[in-house]
Formats: sequence, structure tokens, C-alpha cells
Amino acid sequence: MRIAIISSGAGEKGLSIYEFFKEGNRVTVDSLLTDNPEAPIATTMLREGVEVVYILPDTPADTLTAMLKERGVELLVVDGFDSSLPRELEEAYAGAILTPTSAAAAPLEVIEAGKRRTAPPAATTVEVVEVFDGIESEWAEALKEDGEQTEGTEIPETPEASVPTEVSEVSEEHEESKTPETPEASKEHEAPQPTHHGATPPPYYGAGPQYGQPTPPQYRQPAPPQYQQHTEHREPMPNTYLIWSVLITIFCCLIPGIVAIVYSASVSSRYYNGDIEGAKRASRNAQIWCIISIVAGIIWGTLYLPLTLFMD
Amino acid sequence: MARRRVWLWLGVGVALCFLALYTLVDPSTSAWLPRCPLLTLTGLECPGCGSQRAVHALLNGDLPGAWGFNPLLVVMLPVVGLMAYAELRRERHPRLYRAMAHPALIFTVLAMVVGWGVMRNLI
Repeated sequence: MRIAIISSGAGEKGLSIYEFFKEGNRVTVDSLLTDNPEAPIATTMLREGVEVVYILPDTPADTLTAMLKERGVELLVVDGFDSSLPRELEEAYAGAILTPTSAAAAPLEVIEAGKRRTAPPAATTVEVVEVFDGIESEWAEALKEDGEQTEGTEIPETPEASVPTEVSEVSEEHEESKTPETPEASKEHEAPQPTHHGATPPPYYGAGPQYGQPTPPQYRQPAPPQYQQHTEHREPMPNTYLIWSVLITIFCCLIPGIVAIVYSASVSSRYYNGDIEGAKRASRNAQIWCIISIVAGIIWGTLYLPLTLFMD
Repeated sequence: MARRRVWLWLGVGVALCFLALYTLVDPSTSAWLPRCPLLTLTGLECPGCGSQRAVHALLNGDLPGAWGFNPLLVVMLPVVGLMAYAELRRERHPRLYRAMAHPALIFTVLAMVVGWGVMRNLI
């Protein structure tokens, strides 16, 4: 959801909102509207790279409204605005203008306003539970697939799928921010907190299931590079221990070293033939023979001196 | 993944200790550095024979001498170095790692080692 902050001064509530949602992409502060170029919040927003729009007395209201609508701004947050909002703007955003009560509560009030924006008539508890039962299994499957690093599986981007992400994020962010005093806040705190992003979705606590915004699921980690490389295999190649094998063969013990090299080669050829299990076994064998040859080398080194003395 | 890297870096550390040792001590004259078991017991030269002396020569800047003691070592050291680099930088250069771990390369290395071991005893 994109929002615009309207402020003339320090804009502490606006800043609180900006800081709260900065890391995620659920709520984006699209722009700051101000009638005071010296406003501290304007300086801050400029530094952060947020668009700052100066509203002059003669700024045409329809242009302003059109600009905001075009940028996809859905909610206005008014925080200490000295002038009065143009009537056209007020009408265009009727019901979507928020005046936060305090800096601490402001982010939550934004969330609430966002929900009210598109919430259908209140769903029954049964509906909510059913929705979440379905999501839980989708999530469990998706997480399992993540664990297997399978290519080509996409999390279905239905609105319902986005809800647990929202909820878990909200609960998580509650842990991070200060405890606000509003009644909604204490209700939300009662919800069990997820232990980490992407765990089972917590049971829901309140309003409608629809946030109305298809948020891409955020728990999915980007695939680590080595998995993208081997697109035809599910796992990366097990360690060949080739370097060890070669060095050990040359420096240490010939015969076990040769065995280790053979197993190292086997790891590679089996892997590229698709035999992952065989490759793992070969890797383990290579490792074992490397250790055997090192041990044999140590034994030989220990015995060498007495042996030569004995032989001479 | 982290464990494998720990082992690798540990190996590097141990190798550095050995390098210091071999720079200072000449295996030809010292009795402390063991000779190849195959050579001592049978008189046959394994592929690694002379590798200690070769390393000593390399560390003291004597490349022709090193080549004389064990040519295979002189060839393999840069190759192994490249393999180690590919292993350490596996994520950053996946193609290089794939090339270094390719079965064709590994079997070639094996053939070189065994072939050299056989050849040097025939010549």
C-alpha cells in the first residue's frame, strides 16, 4: 500500500510510520506533501530519497489529486499540517485520510486504515479458520519444496496466500517496536508470535481475511548460487576430496592415495550421471581413504627412524 | 558448508607449517624426514618419490632442480592450487568449480599420477 504523508513541521508521527515500514514493502511512503520547505520532516525525507512535494497556496488541487492517484497513493497521513487540505483532495481521499493519535500508535493506525480500506463485511470465524487451514498446507508444501531446492515451483500468489505473510510480519514487527497503548495493539500482542519468518502461520485474531493486495510471499529465500548452477540436479555435488587425494598420493602414501583419487573421480562421474546417492557414498569413501593414507603415512614416519637404524 | 571450508583452511594452515619445515631442512641429508616407504622397502620409485626434495628445491628457488627430483609435482602444484581456489570460491565461480571437479579432469589426473609412477621405473 502506498501512502503519502502531509506535514508542515517535524512530522514525528509521519517519521514513525516511515521508519516502521522502511524494511518491508507492505507499506511504502510514496511521498511527503508539505507547505513548508524548512520542515524538518522534509529534510529527512529528502535525505532518505522519498519524493517531497511542495504544496503552495496556488497549487491546483486537481493536479495534486491526479498526481497522487497516478502514483498509486491510497492513504493520506496528516501529521501537523498548518494549511487546510484542498477540498478536492479531501473528497478524492474521503475515508482514506488518517490523522494519527501518537507517533507510537501511528504505524498500527496505518495498518488498521489499510484493512478498513478494502475489508469486506466481517467474515465469520469459521471462514477465517478454513482459509488458514488451506494456507497452512500450502505453506508446509512450499517450505518443503524450499528445503529440497526444487526448481520451478512457484508459490500460488492468491490473496489468501498473502495473508499469513502479513500476519506473521505484523506480529514480528510488534516484537521489534515499542508496545503501543491502543486497544488494537494489545489484542494483536495476544496472538502467538512466529519464531521466525516463514514458520507456520499464527492463528488469526480479528478482522477480515482479505487485505486486498496480492503481496508476493516474502518468506521465500532466493536460491543460493550453487543450486542455480546445477539446474538439472537437486543437490550440489558432494565434496570430491580430490585435492586431498592428489596431495596425499604424491607426498604420502601411494597406494591408499590412489584409491582415494579413484573414489574422487567416482564422485564426479556418478554425480553427473545423476546418481546422487552413489556420489555421496563415493565421497565418503574418498574421505575415508584419505584418512587411511594420512594415518599410514604417519605410522610410516614414526617407524622410519627406528627402522632405518635397525636396518643399518 | 561452513564445516568443509574450515577443514580446507585448516589444511592450508598445516601446509604452511610444512612449507616452513621444508624450506629449512634438506631432505637429502637429514635423517628426520622419512623417505618413501616403497623406495626404502623395495627400491621402486613411487610417483611421489623425490617430492620432498623437490619441495625443498622449489622453496629455495631451484626450479630445474625441483623438476629433476619430481616433475609430476612441479606440474601438479599449480593444478592443485587452481582446484583449491575453485573449491574455496565455489559459490562465486560455479563454472570454474564444475570444470575443476569434472570427471574427465579427475581421471586425467589419476592417469598422470599412475602413468608417471609406472614410467619412472621403466626409464
